[in-house]
Amino acid sequence: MRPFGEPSLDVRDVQGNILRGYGFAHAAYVWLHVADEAAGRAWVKAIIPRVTTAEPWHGDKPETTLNVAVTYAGLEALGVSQGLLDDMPEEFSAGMAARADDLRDAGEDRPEHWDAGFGTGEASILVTVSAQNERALDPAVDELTGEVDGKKISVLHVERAALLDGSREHFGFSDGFAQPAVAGDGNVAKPGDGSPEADGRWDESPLGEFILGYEDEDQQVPLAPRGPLGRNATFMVYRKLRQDVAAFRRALRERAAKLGLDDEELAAKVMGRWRDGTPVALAQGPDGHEQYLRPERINDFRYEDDPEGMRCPLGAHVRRVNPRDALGWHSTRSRRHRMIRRGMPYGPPAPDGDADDGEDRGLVFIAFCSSIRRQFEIVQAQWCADGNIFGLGEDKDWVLLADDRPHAKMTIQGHPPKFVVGQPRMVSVRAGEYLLVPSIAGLRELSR
Amino acid sequence: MSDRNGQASALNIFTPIRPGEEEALHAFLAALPRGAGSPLARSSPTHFARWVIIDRLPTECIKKPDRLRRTQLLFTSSFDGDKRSYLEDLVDVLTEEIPEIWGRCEGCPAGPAELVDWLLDHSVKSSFFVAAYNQSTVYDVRNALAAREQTLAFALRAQDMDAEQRLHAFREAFP
Amino acid sequence: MSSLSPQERRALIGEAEKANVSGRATALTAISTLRPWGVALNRAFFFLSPYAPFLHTKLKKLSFIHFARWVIVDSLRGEDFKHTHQFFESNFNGTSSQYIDAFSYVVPRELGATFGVSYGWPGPVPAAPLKSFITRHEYTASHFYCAYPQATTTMILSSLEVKKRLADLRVRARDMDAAEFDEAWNEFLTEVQHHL
Repeated sequence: MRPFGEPSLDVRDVQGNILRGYGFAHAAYVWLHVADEAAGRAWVKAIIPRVTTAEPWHGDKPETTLNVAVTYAGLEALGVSQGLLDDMPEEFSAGMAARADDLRDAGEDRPEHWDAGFGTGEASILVTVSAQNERALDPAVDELTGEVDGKKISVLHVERAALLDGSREHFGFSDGFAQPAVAGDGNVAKPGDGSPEADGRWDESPLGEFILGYEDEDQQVPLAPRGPLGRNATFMVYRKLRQDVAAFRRALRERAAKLGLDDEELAAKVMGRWRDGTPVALAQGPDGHEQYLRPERINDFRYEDDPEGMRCPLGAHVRRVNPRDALGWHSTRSRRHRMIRRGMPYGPPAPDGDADDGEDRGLVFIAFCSSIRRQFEIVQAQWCADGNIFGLGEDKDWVLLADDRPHAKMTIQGHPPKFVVGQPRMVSVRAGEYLLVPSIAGLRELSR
Repeated sequence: MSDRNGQASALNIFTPIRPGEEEALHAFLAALPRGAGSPLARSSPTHFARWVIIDRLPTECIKKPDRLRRTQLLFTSSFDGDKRSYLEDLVDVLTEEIPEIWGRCEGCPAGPAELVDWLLDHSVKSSFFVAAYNQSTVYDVRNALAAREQTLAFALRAQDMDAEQRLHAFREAFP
Repeated sequence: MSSLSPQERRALIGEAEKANVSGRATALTAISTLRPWGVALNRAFFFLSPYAPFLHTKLKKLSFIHFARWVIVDSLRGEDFKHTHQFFESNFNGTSSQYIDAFSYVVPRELGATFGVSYGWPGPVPAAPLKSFITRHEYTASHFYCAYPQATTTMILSSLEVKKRLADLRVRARDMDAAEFDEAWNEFLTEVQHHL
């Protein structure tokens, strides 16, 4: 956990969990549909005192936290003026479902296959409740669902999530510890969290890359509505990703032996980190990881001395989603595409072996950024669903995306290279929405 | 001033559209099939081409900005070989569409030979032309793309083979 | 809305994005008006450019442009211009916005050299006013054609490389035995792995 400091913005106005994660082990995502404007506004007014802000906790942590985000459809349902709605960035107004082509979502990932109620305009408000203990979560969720009448405001869906042992996600990889270093967020930046620059420097991202109303990398204030809705707020990407653990294990096993690797090595190569989080860029084999398993070391690496991908494959997942200095000119081409991620696994841990127990499990992927298009969509569409920018042609992220082209593969660069042949589906998108996380003043604006 | 880069050539042709016919011309162009179904696909030396309707010139920060007397139809192309042969072929493969495109422009002549001259007469030389693969024709590009696919397909198959099998398979695939 | 030209209206309605795209190829067409003292500067810059290092290193490394051109237009048949205009077109891969970002962050000086003498030029950085400048000077193609819409510039360059080396290997393989070919094949794969 990062040591506390005071962020340089009004912490009582920004919602919590954005600049600093709560670090709680359990969460519930309560999706509401607002059918009546007046009821919606009254609901927002009533919830404001319970919203957890970014104020640092001194002493005891709260039992639960509560945060509120609103979709574009939700803003419309709450009667936000057309002028303010027109100020919203295009991709946010369209919603994730309408952006399927822009995201290069294909096959089962497309909105027509999503869980009911998502991508249809029904989702208005997301209330995220998190708790240190599971027992504290249910009463908080019950309180929320009990407060709505089912007609003017109804509960669309409740998604429960919980950290797995060792903060792993379902494919067994340690996750969530690598976050962008943000100037003025009150956290002490660890090496590797920032954007790599000359002389071994790591630059922090300006606040405006993640919080609306502040200057971004271009010293411009990002596109946002006027007034309280566009300040101390952020955009949120919610994307429920189902993970087929059995398929993942099987896919690795079928290929590893043929390539002269064991499953762990192959898993590390496709991911770009070993399951314990050690970067493949730093460790080529399964031994000697202890030295890297400290917060100051685990994220401290660059790709500039590995331009051919001989250590960490060019198409490895972590290299795709955060290329660091791999795109040339230090972090010039990557520094504007960072995301703060606060997602959590859902579903029970998978049993050993590769029999499919039929349980639904995966990751509720959540990202915060001030430009959904630049920070999420480009990474998803151009860096994961495509490989051209890395010189990988049409190759897609092997872990995240299925590829049914006849010669789909992932290259593990080397002397000679090895090809991971065939790219079955192991992850599918089940639901997705784009949301605005308003400031407290913004919430007040929505309740007027 | 150059319309050539290696074996690649550039053409930029501005022709004035007959007043009142601008929307119809745009609608016709916008409705044309795209990709392999585009009429321009019949022109085998064409790498990239576009028709753009230029209905205004910049005005901001200019004290007395220029105004167009006529909305212009701009046709640009990046293609292989020399301009005249290119246009002769283009005019031929676009016989059906031309009346709806250049036929809507003022002074467009009837016969193909005259049309080629007229188009060349309305062309403006490029000041600088950049071409990433300036030695390759459209055919070369497509051929190379296919070679890459074939090589990849073979490489994936060959990975599981022993040395004997691989040599045999290679000779079969690439005689 | 009535003061906008049909082009501007189309851009606003969002027809722009789809019409300017064919598969993975994107078209950008822009016209700017050059300040009088800038015309000669631009002509000089273009004349000298083939000898300029940036083309051979940075632009190559960016590698998303298929073909691009600058055209200085001081007259058109039937028109009477007081100013000199510059028409720019590019055929490239990726979104317009990524394209402008890349140029704005990687080669701002060179961008300034070719567009800097245009009226209204905001400077190459930051990217936002630059994008706005381009958008205001941009035209949507009514029809955009690409002969190989699924291929990116990088893929094409890679393909040309693979083809060359494959042709070479083909010839050499005729006289090899299995062991020799095994070595040659691994060497070949090692050489072309970044192109496959």
